[in-house]
Formats: sequence, C-alpha cells, structure tokens
Amino acid sequence: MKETAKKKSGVGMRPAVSLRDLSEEALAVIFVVVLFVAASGWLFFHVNRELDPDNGKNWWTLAFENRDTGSLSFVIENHSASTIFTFNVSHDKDVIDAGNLTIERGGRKAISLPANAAEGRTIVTVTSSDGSKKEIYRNH
Amino acid sequence: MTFFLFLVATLAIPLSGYLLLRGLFGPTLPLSSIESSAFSLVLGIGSLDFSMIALGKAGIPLSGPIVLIALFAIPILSYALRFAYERFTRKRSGPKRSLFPRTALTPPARTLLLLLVGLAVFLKVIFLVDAGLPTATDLGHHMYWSKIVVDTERLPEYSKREIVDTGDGHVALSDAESISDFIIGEHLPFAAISKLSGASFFSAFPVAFLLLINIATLLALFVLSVRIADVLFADKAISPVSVGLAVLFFVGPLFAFSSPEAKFVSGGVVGNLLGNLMIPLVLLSFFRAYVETESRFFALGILLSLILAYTHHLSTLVLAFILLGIALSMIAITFRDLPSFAKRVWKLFASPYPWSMFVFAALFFFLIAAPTYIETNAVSTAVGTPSKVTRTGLSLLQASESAGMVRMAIGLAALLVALFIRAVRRSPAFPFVFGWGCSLLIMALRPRWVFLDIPSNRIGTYLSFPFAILSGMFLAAFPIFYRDRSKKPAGVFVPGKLFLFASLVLFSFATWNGSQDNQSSLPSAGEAQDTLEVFSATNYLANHSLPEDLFLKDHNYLVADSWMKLFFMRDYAYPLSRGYFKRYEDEANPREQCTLRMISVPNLPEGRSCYSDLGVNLVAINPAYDMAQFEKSNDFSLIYSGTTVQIYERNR
Repeated sequence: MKETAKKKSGVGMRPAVSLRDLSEEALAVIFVVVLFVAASGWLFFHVNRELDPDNGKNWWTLAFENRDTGSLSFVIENHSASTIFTFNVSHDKDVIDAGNLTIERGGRKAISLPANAAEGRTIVTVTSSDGSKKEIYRNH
Repeated sequence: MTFFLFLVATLAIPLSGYLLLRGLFGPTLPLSSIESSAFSLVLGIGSLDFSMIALGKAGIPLSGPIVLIALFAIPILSYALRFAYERFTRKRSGPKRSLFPRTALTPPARTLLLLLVGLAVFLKVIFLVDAGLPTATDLGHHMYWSKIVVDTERLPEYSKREIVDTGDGHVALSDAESISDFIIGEHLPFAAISKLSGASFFSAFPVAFLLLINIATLLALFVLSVRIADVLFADKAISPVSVGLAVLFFVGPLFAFSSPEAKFVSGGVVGNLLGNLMIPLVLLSFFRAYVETESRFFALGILLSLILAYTHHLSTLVLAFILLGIALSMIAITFRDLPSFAKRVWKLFASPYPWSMFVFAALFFFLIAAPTYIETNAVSTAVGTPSKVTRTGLSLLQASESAGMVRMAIGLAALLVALFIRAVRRSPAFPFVFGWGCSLLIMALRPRWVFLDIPSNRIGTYLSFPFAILSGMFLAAFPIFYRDRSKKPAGVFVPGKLFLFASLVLFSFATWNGSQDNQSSLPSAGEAQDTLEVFSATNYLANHSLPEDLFLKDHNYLVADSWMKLFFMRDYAYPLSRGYFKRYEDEANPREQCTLRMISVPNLPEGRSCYSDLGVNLVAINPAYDMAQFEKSNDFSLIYSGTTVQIYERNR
C-alpha cells in the first residue's frame, strides 16, 4: 500500500544499484574527459599551426626602424615565398638611394640609411621578387 | 608541454571542486558520477574565484603558488575535516544511489549517450578549428582583464578612460571611470590557468576551456532532464534515460554551432557560457532538494547561485526570474494543499546547511567584496520599462530563431499537452519545466510585463535549453500515444501506420532544422594571416611606444583588433577605437564622434579638432578601406605597411 502510494506520487528514492550501473556512468565521464583532451589537443595543434607566421603563409611587412622623424632606416620582415627585395628611396621624385637585399622566409633585416629631414615627402618603396610592393614615407 | 600543463591546470579545477563537494556535503549525498562531475566543475570554479578574491582583497600577490593554494586549500581542508568527522563519529556512509534506475541504463542507452556527446563535440571542433583563433571581440575584451591579473598579480579594477565633451566645443580623455559590464568570476579561472600553466592568451587555451564548459553543460542538461523525467513520468512506461537522450539529441548534435553553443565558445561570450552551465545545475539542486526533501541539495543550490552571482549578472537576473516562475507554478499546483507545501519547504530550511550558505554569502558580500554590478548600481539599468526598441520583446518568429524552430515548436506543443494531462500537471516536477519555460517566454516576448530593460535578443538565447528539455520529453513520451487497440487501458491512441508516419516526420523535421542551422553557421576560411599581420603591427608599436603616444585603431575593418590592447595593457580603452558605424547614428544612445572623424575625415576641420584636443598621434587602419584620406594628407607619415594593416603617425 505504502509502496504504491509512493510510486504514484513519483517521489522517493530509487533502490540502490549495482556496481555495473555505477561503472557505466563513470565510464561515460571518463569518455567525455578523453574526448575533451583529444578535442582541446587538436585545437591547440591547429591554432599553433595557424599562428605560425611562416606555415602556409605569404606576407611581409615594411616599417621604419625607429620613431625618429628624420630617420629613414627601415626593416623588412619576411614570411613569404619571395626572398629578394628591391628598395628605392625617393624625395620629390628624385631617387636618393636604392639597392637589393635577400631575406629568407622567417627572416628580418634592417637597412640603415642616412637621416633626411628635408621638407616634403620622402618615400621608401620596396618591391619583392613576386611583384608585390609596399611603401612607407615621412612627411616633413 | 604547455598543452600538458594546461590540461593539468584545467582538470585540477573539477578535482578541487569534487573535494569541496564531498567536504561540504559528505559522502552520503546521493549523486551519480555525471552529476558529481558537473557540480565539481562549477564548485571548483567558485572555490577558485572566492579564494582569489579574498586573497587579492587582502593584498596578497596572486602568484603561481598562491593561485595553487587558492585552488586547493579550502577544498582539501573541508574534505579533511569531513573525513575526520565521519571517522570520529563512526558514521557509516549510506548506500550510493545512482542517477538511473537499474532497469533504465542499458548498454544501448550508454552507447547512444556516448555517440551523441561524441558527435556534438566532433561538430563543435569542426566549427572551432577555424573560428577558434584569438580574434573574437568579446574574448579579447575578457582576456585583457585576465591578463591584468596574471601580469600584475592583483585583482583588476574594472574601469576605462572615455572621450568626454568638455562643454566648450572640445573633447578630452576622462580619468578612469568604473564600468559594470564585467564580473570578476569571468576572468579569474582564465587567469589561474594561465598562471599555473604558462599558457599564452594568444593560443587555443581560452577557447578550449570554454569548450569544456559547453560540454559540461550538455551533461548538466542530460542529468537534469533525466531527474525531472524520473518524477514526471513515474508511473508511465517512459524511461527517464530515454528522455535524457532525446534532450541530448536536441542540445548536442542539433544546433551545435548556434548561440549559445559553439558560437558563444568561439566568440568568447564567457559569462553567458558559464551561466548556461550554472543555471541547469542550480535548478537540478533545487529540484532534488524539493522532491527528496534534502536540505543539502538546497544548500548546494544556494552556493551555486552565489557562484553565478559573482560570474555573470545577466544569467543571475534570468535565474531569479526562472526561480520566481517556478515558485509561482508550484504554489498554483499545490494551491489546494498549501500547508503541506509550506511544511515541505520549511523542512529544507530546518537544517544548518542552507543557513551556513546564507551566512557565508552575507559575510563574503559585506566584508570582502560585492559583485561589480552591485557596486556600480548597474541593476537599476536592467530593471524598468524597456527604453529602446531592441528591448521591447521578440516576436514568436524571432524567439523561434533564437531557440531553434523545432525546439520551440515541439516545446510549446509539449507545454500545451502537459497542461491537459492531469497526472503530469500535478507532478511536483511539472512546475520546474513549466515555470522555467514560461518565465523565459515572458522575458523574451513581453519584457514590459516584468519590467525588464535588457536587449531582448540576449534573453532569447536562454530559451533554447528549457525548450530543448520540453522537446526531448515530448519526443521520448511520443510512443505512449500508440496503443494497441486490443490492450487496455484504453486511452488516446493512434493507428500504427499513422503513428510511424508522425514519428518519422517529427524526427526528420528536428534533424533538418537543427542541421540547417549548423550548415548556415559554418565559418568561412580562416583569418589567420590577417590576424598575424595585425598582431605584428601592434607588436611593432608596442616595442616602439613612447609615453606620450595615443593610439587609435579601427574596429570595422581590422581583424582581431580587440586583442591589440593585450600588447599595451595601458587601459581597457587603449587603443581608442572607431566602433561600428551604426553606433554613431544611434540617437537613443548618443556617443562621441571623434573616434569616427579622426579616421573617416582626418583632414577636415572636425577631424583636426579631435586630433588637437585628444593628442592622438598614431592610427592603425586597413588600407583597403581607409588609406585614401591619409595618403593625400601631409600631416601624416606612413610608418608601418602590411597588406591588411597600416600605421600612420601624425606629425607634431
């Protein structure tokens, strides 16, 4: 009678279970932990690979080496397949310096140039061997 | 090695939580392995948060060893004291009781459980592989605060400098002012993992940790629905585990990419994700407290609610409304026997456990630290008549899109059908699903009725879980509509062929709708190279930075721009940012225009005036969109040139 009433109300504890049931739940938890380890491991591997500047990437940058307003020294950071870079420094369309340099993928090279604070725009143009071009300039 | 240390640090959290769980509530609290795991993760996070807050407020630097102490000291102490107490009083542990009735957990059910979870995780990883790079705006904002804890070994002060109108036609940068959008519980776990493992924030670790939270949420919803079904269908031939598996089907593989699933994981919507884990566990605790009249579960629910309050303000508010809805539903169904109901509730309070939690909450709140949103009085901005059109409520169609059409459709049907089945309606489990679903529906569709002033689409994301549970229950209970005519008792029955057809349609609709959402959410090819360029440019500036520099960047066209602040760690709002264009046109929420003008019209008088007032001298833009206006100006020098990012310096 009591058991029926209890069953009808839906309230009450289920009877104790065997080790077999417990171990199946524990197995499920262990499986989920293993799944998480595998998933996060893959994410770590993939993100590390994606954030590797050289792995499957093709980019390079050009920047002045320091913030001095008269300084024209510049640095190229290369993460592309091109290794030969041609630079050209001009002021009011007059070429004041030019040259070539080789930078391997993953490399970084600085070129020191004499300071130039002449009025107007002094432009440093760099072209890579695959034809891509970048420039930086100072306006005085 | 970093990955291994990350795993150790991350899995140490649920381990410490388990010690705390058993230390506080004893070995006789009947929990299944899955329940223990989910509760342990949240308790571990809570224990870490409270310990670090207390130590930080005491002025103790949050170094690696101190974080380790914060993680394990209280749990180990409580476990040791409990062990000694149990031994000293010679109390015997009660028989361990499992979640599942013996007959319900069959090998096929276990296999299906593992398959569903495995499939869900597989789908999420597919999404995260491209969307898991450190580029998401929200994640960048959150990781800034976590990094402050790591770098300074102190608790962060949530503040930022803003551009303000000085009243004479000019603008200036204010001093740092408090902000209430961030809550410390969102940042301390990440800070702790980074401190203990050395993992960089510019890695997969933030997303991986959020994935763990999301996986634990699936398990929490599974156990909650099994528990509810165990009581709701006590005298029906419906296996509670079948209900749990059906719910897992609706929240796992289906809609795996939607908000609040994988999209929130990759987007770094930290507070929401933690709230989505904690809310079902709070409800599970209170549910078991009520139906089993076990005050320890009541105390556990109070503790989890407190942890939530220090983790995410919106989820805390949503939980409050859910509990109100459940309470009102319970009063409604027990209306004819309120004294009995009151007596049952009183029994939960007649124990030292819940009062210990109340005392702890009061002491921590008043003596150590209150949540940021309380200190800045942000609650008053969330409660009131809706102030903008985006807060006046969603349409049913919009709510369906938030919750998933199939979940909303079947869930609503389940609610309506349940109202007409007396045995279900009168079950003590019914208020929990009814109250949960209805309170969220009202908050999302008619916020004015409950004086809620929050973007309605944010509330809409909370609809998916209760309606997934309702849908799962309906799907699992559907076979009871099939009756063999020759057998009794007679009841509603459907001929076999029609029943089969209806089942196939239902299943197909569910699979199609959930998979379609997955398909439309897959991210496009990765932004890795663009991200690297932005990071490289920012690193260049950070290494060549001068104290007087003031840097402005664009949010519209630069990838991962919110992560740039992690290179400087000067202020939450440094660099300054040109935000989304539509925000500058928002008449309901007018904002400064200088960050727009300085990039869009740097050569016009209004742009120049902003540069002059603020002293901004460095600007980062995407040359594909914003190069022209700078190139033709003689006021700017181009000092850094990449493909997707350029940096200009304004001549002084």
